[in-house]
Amino acid sequence: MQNSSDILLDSAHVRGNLYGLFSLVFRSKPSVRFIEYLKQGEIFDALESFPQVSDELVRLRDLFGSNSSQELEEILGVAYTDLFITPKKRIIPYESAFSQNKSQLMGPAAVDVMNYYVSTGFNVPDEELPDHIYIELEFMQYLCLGQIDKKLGRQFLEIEIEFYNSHLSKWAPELFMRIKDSDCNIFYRIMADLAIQLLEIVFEKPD
Amino acid sequence: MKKIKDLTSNDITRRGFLKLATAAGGAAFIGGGLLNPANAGIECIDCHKIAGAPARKQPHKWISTVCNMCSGQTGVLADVLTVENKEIVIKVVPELQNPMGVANVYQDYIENKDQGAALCPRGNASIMDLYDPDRLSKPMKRTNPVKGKGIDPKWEVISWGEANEILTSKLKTLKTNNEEHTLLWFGDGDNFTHLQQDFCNLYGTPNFFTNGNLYDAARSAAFTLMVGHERLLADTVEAKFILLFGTNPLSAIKWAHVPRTMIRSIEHGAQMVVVDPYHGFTASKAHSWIPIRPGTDGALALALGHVIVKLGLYDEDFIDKWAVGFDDYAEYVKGKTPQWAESITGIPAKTIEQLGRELGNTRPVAIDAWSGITQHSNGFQTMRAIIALAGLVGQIDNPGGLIIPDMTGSLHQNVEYEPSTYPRLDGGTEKYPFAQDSGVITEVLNNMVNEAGPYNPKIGIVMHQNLVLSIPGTDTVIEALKKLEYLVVVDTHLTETSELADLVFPGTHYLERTDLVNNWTTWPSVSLRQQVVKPLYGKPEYEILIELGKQLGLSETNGNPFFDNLIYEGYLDTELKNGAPGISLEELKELPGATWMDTEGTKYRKYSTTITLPAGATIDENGVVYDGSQNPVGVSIWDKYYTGFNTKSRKFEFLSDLDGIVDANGELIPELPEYKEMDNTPDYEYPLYLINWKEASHTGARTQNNIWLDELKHTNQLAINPKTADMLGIKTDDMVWVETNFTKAKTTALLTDRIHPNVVGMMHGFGHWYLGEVTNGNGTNDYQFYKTEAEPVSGNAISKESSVKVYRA
Repeated sequence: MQNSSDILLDSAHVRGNLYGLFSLVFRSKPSVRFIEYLKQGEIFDALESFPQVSDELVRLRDLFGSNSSQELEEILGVAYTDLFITPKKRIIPYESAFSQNKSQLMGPAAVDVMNYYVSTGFNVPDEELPDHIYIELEFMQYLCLGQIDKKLGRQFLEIEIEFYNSHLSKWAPELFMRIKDSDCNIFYRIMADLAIQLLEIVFEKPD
Repeated sequence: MKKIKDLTSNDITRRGFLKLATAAGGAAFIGGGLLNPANAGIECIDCHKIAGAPARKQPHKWISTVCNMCSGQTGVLADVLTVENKEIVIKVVPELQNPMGVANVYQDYIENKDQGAALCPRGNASIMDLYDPDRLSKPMKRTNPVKGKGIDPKWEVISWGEANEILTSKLKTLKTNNEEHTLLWFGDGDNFTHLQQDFCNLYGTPNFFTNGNLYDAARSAAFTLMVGHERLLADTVEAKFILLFGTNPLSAIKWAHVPRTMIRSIEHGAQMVVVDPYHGFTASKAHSWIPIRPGTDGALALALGHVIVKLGLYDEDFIDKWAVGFDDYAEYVKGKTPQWAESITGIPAKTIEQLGRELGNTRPVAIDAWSGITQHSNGFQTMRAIIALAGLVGQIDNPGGLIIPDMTGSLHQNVEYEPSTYPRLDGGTEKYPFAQDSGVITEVLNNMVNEAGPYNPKIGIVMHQNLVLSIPGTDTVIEALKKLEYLVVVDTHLTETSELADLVFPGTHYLERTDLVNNWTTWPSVSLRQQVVKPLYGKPEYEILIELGKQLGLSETNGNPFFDNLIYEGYLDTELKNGAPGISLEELKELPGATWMDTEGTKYRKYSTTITLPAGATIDENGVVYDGSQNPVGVSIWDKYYTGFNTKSRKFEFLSDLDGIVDANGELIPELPEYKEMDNTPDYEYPLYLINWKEASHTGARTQNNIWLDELKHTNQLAINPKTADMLGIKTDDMVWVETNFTKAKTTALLTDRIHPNVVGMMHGFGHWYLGEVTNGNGTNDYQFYKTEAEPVSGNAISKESSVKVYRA
């Protein structure tokens, strides 16, 4: 009979895919290829299973249906830029800026996440700071991938839990809440809403 | 502590996530995979110890570099923590081995460097700029074609590759159409300046400008005319009397050593007198503050000259041997009595008389002036009157006086290019006869608005300059920039100038790049600003520029493809080897503080160095010695030959032979430092002078988003004398209108005795709307109350001359 760890290990690929999806969404403006994949509908069909976003899903489908991929690249590119790059509406996607009273990049949180990355063999891209939300989510995906390894799987599972508790739990839900409550493009609001739900479901408090 | 739960159990939401996960797996091919390909393989996991092994931290390292939070460029040490391949700057402290935080006179430096070096608040707050979350992180292009203040550009992030392609393409198009001259380049004067200049020269535009003409071009022009060097430095530590006009060096800190040297001087018994409409921090340390009506300092200086001449307190030896035009000057100041000056300046005649006596009876004397003088329409003439005082008491290039610095340092290499046949957009020295190399930016902008220049620029590139808030006349600056077909801005943050741009690149912080700094010391010294950490975003601008030059195929006239194999460190290496240091870049890095110094130190009275007549020399009727190629090399005095001053007469000039040169307004430039009234003076309708100033807490309009500096100074208010406020029914923190004859805006009042009753003023640099979350909406933009104008001889921006009325809102 499988114990709970075994179940979690077996389903790690599910969590991994989801962390990966949200990492991709919040990493950069969507590429034309990704937009075209979204237009194919499999992702939107899956979103039908979330009643709380059903109204917005209608509008999202309409947005994708009534604009070409190139138009959407610009629309979502501008939306992403407004959300994360320009200071006007900006929501800072770096943990250091959230976890300290004084907003500063490359703070202790950045150093600590690097500890995790290095000790697990996770490579951080040079072009971004290590505590960007997309990198922390990609790391979670990486840890899930590691759980298929028979020798190290359990350790990766433990690290997934530990990393969430030490880092993501402290800022990611609030980050996604701000995105969800902002007036940014509906695509990002829906994705942020789902990201919150995912984290709440995966990391519920014990009964 | 949260525990993980299984996603695959049976409820609606979990089933939804299962479906989503399946769909997400299908997206795995996008962009090379959901994972960074470097992390895709399990093999790499096996190779590492997991679960709790801390990343390898290496010991801290300390790296000498040079601050650039302002153009003072103090030496600093950066404390760097390395965690695996990431380096993080923990703090920045002063560097003792670099003289810029200690002293500007060699002997003073040697005697005092062990007491420690100074670093101003901005330098201390460097890391909060470096790690400011509001820094621009990616290149962006505008998608909203409509431009203006407060109009959202609707930026879209693009890749570095795309950004470079766009810029290259734009510049190629200009070249194809033979319109290279329509490229307008605003660079700052501290960073990769020579490379930018070379780029513009090789590209074919004469329109390369830097920001020096916004500050002290009038000072430079007056010194160049009268002394033959553009920027003398006060040796306050040896002075027994310090007289300052319109400068607040203890607070509006440019050079971090100056507060120390001034305080040392006072501790050694020197008297300090500050002449300024505003009682700044320097005045608080002075023995005497003389509040003066703005722009009238020339009258005071001439009246002081009158007193000194009348009482015979001038330095006869210096004047007899080393000066020309004294008799004409003495004749001119006969009528410039203290009573005459009182009616203009508002300073009692007795005070002027007393000050003149003290000045005349004390040696050595350091007399200095800066932006409080130069940023007026009469700044050039006023500076001449002040410099004449220094000459009168013989305090040029001697200990305790104004030193002619020996700035021989690194040497800009010669690049062979065909000068553009098109005139510069500012009219150059044909229009502003004593303009600096930095140009006349205000002239350029006015011509753009009025389409009155020789041609219209098409593409603008702005490097690390917030033109909109740094040039007087905000609306004019905005209108000018909107006229460009394409504007590119490179800066660490989005700024009010970026708001008008078509393309923006993230710029680097000084801790992220390398450059050479010829220090503003009185003896030759060169420091290395070396890269302490890799850029958080992108790469140093010089690498972008080199790549751009390569793509454009820019070559010298001898056919050398200048940028093709250029590496910036090699470029700097050449400048060092060809210059006074004569060492390599690697050797400079190894020196203490990464600083080279000429150990011969500060030399005084260099004008009295004897010379041997060169072969083929001639001497004209005024005693000027020329070499065989007709270059002036010295002066003949009483049958001996000396270096002299680098002026037309080879002497200090109370009177200058100007051959009938006219200024930008077509008016003859006086041969003497005659008094000239300001153009814009208060009248019945606008009865108050409006001035502005800087303080140690911020650099111009640049640092207001720095969270530490914001704690020091969060906003600005309008300083108003209580007597004036009382007449207007204004109290501290009241909201008031400040109105000129062309604009008005609200601000809050601050009553203080520290400002002349006829004057109101505020600290410069606030009123941002597009810089960052910390500062946007704080304070009032003071430059909106001035016009975009230039002093007509030097081209100095007129940033402190406006007349206003103030009333409760």
